[in-house]
Amino acid sequence: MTSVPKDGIAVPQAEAVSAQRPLHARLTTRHLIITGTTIVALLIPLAAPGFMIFPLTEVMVYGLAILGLNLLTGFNGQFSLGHSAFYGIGAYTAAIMMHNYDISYFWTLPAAGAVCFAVGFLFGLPALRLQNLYLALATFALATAMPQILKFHLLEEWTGGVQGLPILQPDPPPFLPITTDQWLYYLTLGVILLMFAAAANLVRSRAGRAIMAIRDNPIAAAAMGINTSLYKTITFGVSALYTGVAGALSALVVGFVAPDSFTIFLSISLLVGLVIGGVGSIAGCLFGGLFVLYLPNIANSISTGLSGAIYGFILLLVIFATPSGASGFVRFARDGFSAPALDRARFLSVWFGISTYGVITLLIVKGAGLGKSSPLIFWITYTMIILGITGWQTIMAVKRLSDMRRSRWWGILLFVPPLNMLLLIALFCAKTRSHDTLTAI
Amino acid sequence: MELLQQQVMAGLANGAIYACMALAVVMIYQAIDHLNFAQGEMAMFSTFIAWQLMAWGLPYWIAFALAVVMSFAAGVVIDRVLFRPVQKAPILSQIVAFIALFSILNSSAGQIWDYTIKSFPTPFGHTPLFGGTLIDTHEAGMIGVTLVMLALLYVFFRGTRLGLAMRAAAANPESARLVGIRVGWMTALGWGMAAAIGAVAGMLIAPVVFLEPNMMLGVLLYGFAGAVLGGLTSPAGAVAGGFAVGIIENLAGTFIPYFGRELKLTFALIMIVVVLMFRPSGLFGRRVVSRV
Amino acid sequence: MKQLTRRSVLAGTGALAVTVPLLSPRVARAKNYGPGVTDSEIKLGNTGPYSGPASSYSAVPKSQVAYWKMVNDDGGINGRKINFLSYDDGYTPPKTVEMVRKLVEEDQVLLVASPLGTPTNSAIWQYMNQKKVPQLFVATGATKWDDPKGHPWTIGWQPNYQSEGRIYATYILKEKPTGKIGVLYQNDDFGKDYLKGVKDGLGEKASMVIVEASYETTDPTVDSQVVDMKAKGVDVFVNCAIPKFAAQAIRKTAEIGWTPLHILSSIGNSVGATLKPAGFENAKDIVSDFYLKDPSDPKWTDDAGFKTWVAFMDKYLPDADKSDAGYVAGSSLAAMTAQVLKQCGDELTRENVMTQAASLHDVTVPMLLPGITANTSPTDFAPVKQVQMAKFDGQRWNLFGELLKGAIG
Repeated sequence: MTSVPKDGIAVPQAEAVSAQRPLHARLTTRHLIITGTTIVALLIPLAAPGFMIFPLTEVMVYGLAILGLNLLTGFNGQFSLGHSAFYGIGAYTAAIMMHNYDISYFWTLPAAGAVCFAVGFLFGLPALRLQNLYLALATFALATAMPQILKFHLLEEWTGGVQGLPILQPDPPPFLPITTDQWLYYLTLGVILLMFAAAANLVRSRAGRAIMAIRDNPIAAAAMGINTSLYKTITFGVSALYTGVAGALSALVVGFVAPDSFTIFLSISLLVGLVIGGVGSIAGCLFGGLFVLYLPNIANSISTGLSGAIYGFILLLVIFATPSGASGFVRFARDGFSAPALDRARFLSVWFGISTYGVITLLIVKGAGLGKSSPLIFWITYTMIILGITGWQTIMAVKRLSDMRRSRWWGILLFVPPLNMLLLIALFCAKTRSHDTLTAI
Repeated sequence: MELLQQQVMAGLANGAIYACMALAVVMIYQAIDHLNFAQGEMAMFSTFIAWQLMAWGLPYWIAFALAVVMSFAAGVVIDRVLFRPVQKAPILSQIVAFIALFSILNSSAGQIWDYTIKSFPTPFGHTPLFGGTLIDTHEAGMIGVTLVMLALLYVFFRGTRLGLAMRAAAANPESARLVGIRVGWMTALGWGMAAAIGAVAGMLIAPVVFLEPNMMLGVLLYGFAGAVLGGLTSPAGAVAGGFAVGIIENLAGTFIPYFGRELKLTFALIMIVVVLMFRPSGLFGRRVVSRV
Repeated sequence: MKQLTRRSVLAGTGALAVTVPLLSPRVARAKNYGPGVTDSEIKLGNTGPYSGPASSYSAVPKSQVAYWKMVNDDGGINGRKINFLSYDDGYTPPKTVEMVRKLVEEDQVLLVASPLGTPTNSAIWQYMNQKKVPQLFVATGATKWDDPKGHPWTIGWQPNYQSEGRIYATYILKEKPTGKIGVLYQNDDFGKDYLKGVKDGLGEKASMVIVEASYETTDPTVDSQVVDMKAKGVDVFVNCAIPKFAAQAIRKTAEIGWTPLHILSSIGNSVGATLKPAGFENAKDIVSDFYLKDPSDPKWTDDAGFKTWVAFMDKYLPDADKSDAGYVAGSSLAAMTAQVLKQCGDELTRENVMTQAASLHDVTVPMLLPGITANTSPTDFAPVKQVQMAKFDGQRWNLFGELLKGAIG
């Protein structure tokens, strides 16, 4: 605090007070959530058993790939079904570098990014002329062509052809007492944090606004002086870069690349993950990745013969419950509670959505095996979710109730659904007496 | 030269399959303004139902008619149950709904009818035409039926009030409502028709490729390609596009020396993308002009 | 000292008989358990394509699940029930890695039995050998699984594709040494393996192959490949396609009036799954090779092994289409695994599993062709090596010649 001497006495001046608000006022809920999640993410591999770390690493990799798709489709409005191709190119770049040329895995990530940026940029050039469905078809063509190209006999020397290429998984640095799984997890986590932060930064910048303007109204954007061609092709490149790095990471994590891993079905999975997480939401991408990895497992555990049908059915339920994806739902709940005219129907619809997510989270957690291996972790996770959601909603509900001049004790009702869910969890976690037989229906 | 001629004929035969599918795709596009990813699976499912009816003893034409009617009804039901809740959602969410439908139909068909291929009868028989080269009576029949369907659709859309109402509902739902058209039912009707056309396509395609749950995967891909190549706003264009894709693919496979055999799908798609670059709305599509 | 009466001798002997085994060290019945084994249960793992584009192979894991149910109903193996955990991997390698890691690290299975597919098995190959978990009787015919030195924990099962290709080549050199060969193959691992086998088997005469026609599973038909072959003057048609495309090819060949020497691979030679849809008249004189009995071939109706298999299918998979060869393969794989477990007795460790798997002598299962047995040794990890050629006469396959070995592995 500066002071200007006046009449010999130091008087603090109003203008001299710092122009910025104090730290505790500047932190938003978003910052808290991000910090909290990061801390949890850092601690998980130390507490969780090895076989759980691998899928969680894969979730992060898919989240990154979906973020790439999100940048292009969600933020720039260019519809792409071809991201499995970029994923594959990234993976094969890493694999070829490590398998054929013995280059350290560290360099494969930026290399994969660079290669994919170039490919994406080049693909973005003709894509400028194509709209919507036609672009979808062109990217579809790219995705369908990729396995064929990878199997092509002239390239077999490098790509390993149909047999694929095995990759030696990187060892953790000698000074860290962790396993390979944990090291890969932390490596992926580090890359994710970096790239998600970069994406968030991009989106909030001028360039990001230009990109979104092109999505919302290309003609107006062009009229405002935005170089739409440049931005569209660069976005294509950046989007491909993200997905390519994700592909390279996946090659390290899985330890094997083969042409059949990168088919159009991967593209479709990424698209599903994008929509479920929320188009245009960066945080939603991780939820999308979680969904993409675990939903097939859940469907499979319900019925192996009809796993595809169960998968489709659950997918439909989720889309019906949250048509704009997870982030859309969060936005709706947030806005909904601060809207002046809050009616009971909205309460109920929001609760339906929350319950759906709660049940699905439960199933995912069950599918992930957390409940079986360590009840403590499961209960902590569950309590956090419920407190976070329920607690927050209850606070908002109490606020609304007082606005509506009704007794605040109505807020207690909000706790009824969680009690139902607790019963469900208890049933899920109960030990089965006779061993399960996995029967195909 | 003879090889060229033969491959063109074979391409036409394949192309008939794609044209059939492309027609169904364009039909639904005209009705609901979206590409239906599950179109192939719906057609496959309808064909299985026809097959099951025949396995239970019904003669071919009765099974055919029943399958078409049931598909029509199923199309309407799918629209009401599946499409309606996500109608106001963003396009991508609707596409995910289609993907879910694809998954359900494919998995159910595999579970109910197994994965072994089944032969499906054809009313046209399989005797070769034109002196035993490449195109047989069934394939010729397929082309014929496709063209007939195309003609009927043309007459329906251009010449009847109902067709006009459907076109209006798809082009501008709000104005259509103002004029008194029940847009919801028009959409449902469009779905039903698309499902029925898909069923016919499936029953024509199955005798050639053999009936099994995954039979439509490749066909749909090529059907999309053909529809887009020809222009999604033009049924005739879609049919032409389907034939073109068949011929291009065959010629690419046979005549391009090194890459052709292994990369013919890639080639076909590259060609289409190139065409689209010069004619972004497809070969016969109408250019959509939007007012600023 | 008491009188040594007969009674006391008997009592004493009885007492000794009871106490001595209790006191002596337990060497007679050594129970050694690896992960996933208890006195009453053995846990086994498996992955397969229940969903996705390769779901047509789902019959293989499904029949294994049913087979182990039958084993349990019959009392299990050496008194232990089998807990068979079979997961869907959609034929995508990353999913296989995930599922196998789950099986090994979370479910703690004793071994992974017959995972299906070449890329999928390749993805877990290093992992299984690093973790020293048996990768038993993989459900694929790639040549690389016979590698006891480099990968001692992985063992194959069926005659590999390259050896089958060589057998075709040998047959062609005998029957039509000046022929022009066209090969139809699927553009992936097994297809390319067949092609390589044929060309290697021809040796210097590999130039006899004038058309190498590949197809993708997304291709609707292979008609144009067939037409191409006829136009180029091919007169030996090696058809290494899966049933759907093999049937299309057979039908098209007849349609265009082409009569080459038609060799069909074992993948696509089922009477019910391939020849019936293609048309029996069109399939006359086709030659193929077998190591398993074709369930839709009327020849086996009175065969004891076949009847056992039919009874199994009727009871445990009544709605299944018996002409799907996947059910034969799956149940045979499971039967072989059951044999290995039986041989282990109470020494149910992973090491012993591999030891027993590497010491199969003339083991047979109901659906192997008569005369074909499985044999392994510490240097030979290819259990079933023999095939027999057969010719189709319009109604059934007629086996001819003697059992042939593929000369690889």
